[in-house]
Amino acid sequence: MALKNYFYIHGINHYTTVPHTPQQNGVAERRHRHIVETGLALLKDANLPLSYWPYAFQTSVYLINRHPTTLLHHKSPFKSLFNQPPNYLKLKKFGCLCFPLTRPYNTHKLQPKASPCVFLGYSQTQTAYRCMDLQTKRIYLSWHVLFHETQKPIPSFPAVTLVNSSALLSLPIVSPPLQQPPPVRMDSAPASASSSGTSPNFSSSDSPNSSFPVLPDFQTSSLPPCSPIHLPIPSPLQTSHSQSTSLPTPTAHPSTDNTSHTHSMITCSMNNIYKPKQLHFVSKHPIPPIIEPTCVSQALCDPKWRSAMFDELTALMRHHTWDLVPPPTHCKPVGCKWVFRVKRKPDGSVDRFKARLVAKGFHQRPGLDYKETFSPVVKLAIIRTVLTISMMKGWSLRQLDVNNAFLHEKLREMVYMIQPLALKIC
Amino acid sequence: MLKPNHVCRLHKTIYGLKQAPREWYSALKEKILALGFTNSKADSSLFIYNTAFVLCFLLVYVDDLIITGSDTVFVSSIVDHLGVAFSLKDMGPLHFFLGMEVIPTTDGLFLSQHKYIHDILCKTNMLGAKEVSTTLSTTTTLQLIDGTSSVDITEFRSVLSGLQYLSLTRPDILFAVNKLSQFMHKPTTTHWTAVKRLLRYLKHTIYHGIHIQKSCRFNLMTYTNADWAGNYDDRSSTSAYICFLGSNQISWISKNSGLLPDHPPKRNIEPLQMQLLKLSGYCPYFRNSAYL
Repeated sequence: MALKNYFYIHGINHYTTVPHTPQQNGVAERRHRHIVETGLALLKDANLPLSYWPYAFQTSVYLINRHPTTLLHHKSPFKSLFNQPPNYLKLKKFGCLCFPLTRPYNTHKLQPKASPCVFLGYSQTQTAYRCMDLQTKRIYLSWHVLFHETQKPIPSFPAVTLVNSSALLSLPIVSPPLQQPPPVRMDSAPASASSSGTSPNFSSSDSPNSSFPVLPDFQTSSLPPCSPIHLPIPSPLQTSHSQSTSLPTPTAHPSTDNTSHTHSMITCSMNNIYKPKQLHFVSKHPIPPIIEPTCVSQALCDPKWRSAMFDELTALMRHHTWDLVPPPTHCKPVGCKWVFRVKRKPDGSVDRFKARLVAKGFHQRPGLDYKETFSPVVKLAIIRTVLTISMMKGWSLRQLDVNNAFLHEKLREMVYMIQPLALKIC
Repeated sequence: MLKPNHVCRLHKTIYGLKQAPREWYSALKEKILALGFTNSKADSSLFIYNTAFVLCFLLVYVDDLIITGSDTVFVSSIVDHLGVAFSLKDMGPLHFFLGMEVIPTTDGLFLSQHKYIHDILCKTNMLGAKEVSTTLSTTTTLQLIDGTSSVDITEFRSVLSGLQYLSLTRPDILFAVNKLSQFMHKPTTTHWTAVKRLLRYLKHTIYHGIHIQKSCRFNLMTYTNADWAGNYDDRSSTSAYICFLGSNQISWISKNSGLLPDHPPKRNIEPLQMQLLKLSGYCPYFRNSAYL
C-alpha cells in the first residue's frame, strides 16, 4: 500500500505482469533458474538431502554474487557494488568436511576442541562459516574452522538408483591422486583433536571414542573410490580403475580397526559382499490375462466378446424387446451401455464371457419416464423370524434363484432407448 | 434392419431401467398370488400360504427366493409351478443368502457373516491388526467436536456403511455402529480411531454370529433400555430394544431417540412404543399363522 501511495504521489503508473505468464518476467525467471540449478548442483555434490536446500541456495547466491560475469565486463556483482574485489580466499567447498573450534561450547576443559562437521555455506550477517555437527545436527557459526575440502562427510547413497549413483560416483574417480592424501590428514586431525584423552564422566556423544566409531559410516564413503565398491552390481568403473580398488585398502584399515573394537565377527559387508538390491518388485500374483473391456470398441476387437454381444442381442431380439422407430419429438431417449463381465467358476477358471446391455436408467426422470419404483427388499427381522419359525417347526429351507429376473417383463410406460452401438455393426 | 437414425421403443424391461424391479415384483406377485398365497401386511416381500393342512412361507429378495413350509411335497410343487413361469435355478438347501452364511448345526442354524467381515478387514488393511475384546473404549468419550483433526470423510462413510450391513447377524456391534454413525457428517481422528477399534474387535470375533435354536416355546419377549442423556453433544438419550421369539433373537435396534432428558417419563417408554408399533406390524402375520 505504501508503495502504491508513493507511486500515486509521484505520478508513476505501476505496470505488473499478467498472472501465470512467466514469459513476461524473463529476467527474474532466468536469475531464479540460475540460483536453483547452482544450488541443486551443490546439494548433489555434497550428497546432502533435499531438505538442506535453503543452505545450498543461499550459498549459490553468495557464489553468484562473487563470480565475474560477462554482463558486467568480467567484474563480479560484488565488485561493481562495493568497488572492491571479494575475498576469494574465503571460499570453501560446499558440503566438505570441516572442524570448527567448539571449545567455547565445551563444558569441560578436557573435552575435544573440534568435532567433524559438514560445511553448509556462509553466514549472511557475519564473517563466519556455517558448519553442522554430524552427530548432534547442531549448527555452528564460527570463523575458526579447519577445512578438509577434498573430503565429503556425507556418503552418497548407492541404494537410490543404480544409474544415478554410478553417474555420481564417477565424478570423484576422475581425480584419484587428489584424494589420496586427505584420508591420512583426516586420521591425524581428529586424533590430534582427541588426543587430550577421555574421562568416563563425559557424555558419550562428546567423547572421541564414541564419536569416532560413527565415522566409519561416512568414512567408508568419504574415501571416494570406496563407494563404487558398495555398488551391488560391479560397475565398469571399478574394473577399469585398478587404482580405485587398491586405494581403499590402506585407508580402510582405520575403519576396520574401529569396528574390531566393538566385535570381532567378520561380516559379508566387511568383505564387500553385498546382496544385489532388488529394484523391481514383481507381483506375486500375475495380472489376470483376461481384462474385461470397458467400451464397445475394445470388445469388438476380441472375437470372444463379439460373440457374447451377439448372443445377448439375439436373445433380446428373440424376446422382441424393442422395435426400431423414428426418434420421438416429445422426449429424449435414454442411453444404453454394454457391460462386460468374465464369469468364473469357484476354482477361478473362466466359465463364460458375458455381455449385457443395460439402459442408463439415471437418464429417466420421475413423473415423466416412470411413475413408481419399487424394489422387493425384505426386512432383516422378517428373514430371521422366518428362519426361526422354520427351525422351531423343523421345516427344511430351500433357496431359489431367478435368472434374468429383470428381463422380459412387459413394460407399461413408453420408453425410448438409443440404439446400442453394436447393433449398427452387427 | 439398418436404420441408424432410429431409436428403440422398448416393449419389455431391460437392466438399468428404473421400473425394472417393480415390473419384476408385480409379475412375480401376480404369479404367487395365483398360486393361493397371501401377501403379508408386515412386509410386502413375504408371502404366506395358510390352510388347515399346509403352512408355507415365501421370502423374496429381488431375485433370490427362500421357501419353507410344513409340507415338502407342497413346497416342491410350488417350486415347479414357479419354474414354469420363470427361469429358476434351484439352489437346494439354504446355505448362502445376502452375504450371510447359513450353517446347519445339530440343534439349529448358525448365521455368520465372516466372509463379509473378512472383506471389510481386507479393504481397510486391518487383517494384521491387534485384536481387542470390546467394541468401544470406556475411557474416551465420543463427541462431535473433540479438538482433533478431521479425517477422510469418504473412507469413514464407506467403512461405516459397510458395518451397518453387519447388523444382520451382529447385535453386539449395534450400539457402537449407531454411535459412530452419528459422526458421519464430520468425523475426526478420535472417531476414526474408534472405528478402527471396532474393526479390531470384529477381527477378534470374526466367527461370531446368531444361533437359531430349535425350541418349542413361542413366547415373544422384548427387552428395552435407554441411557439417560448419554449423548455428550445434546444430552439426548439412546434407546434400544431386542426382541426374542422363544430363545432366539429376531429383531433389535439401537437408536438415538432425540429426546431431551426433560421428558423423563417418556424416556424408557419410547423404545417400547417403537417396538409395539413394530409388533403390531407382525401381529397380522402371526394371526395368519395361528400362533397368537
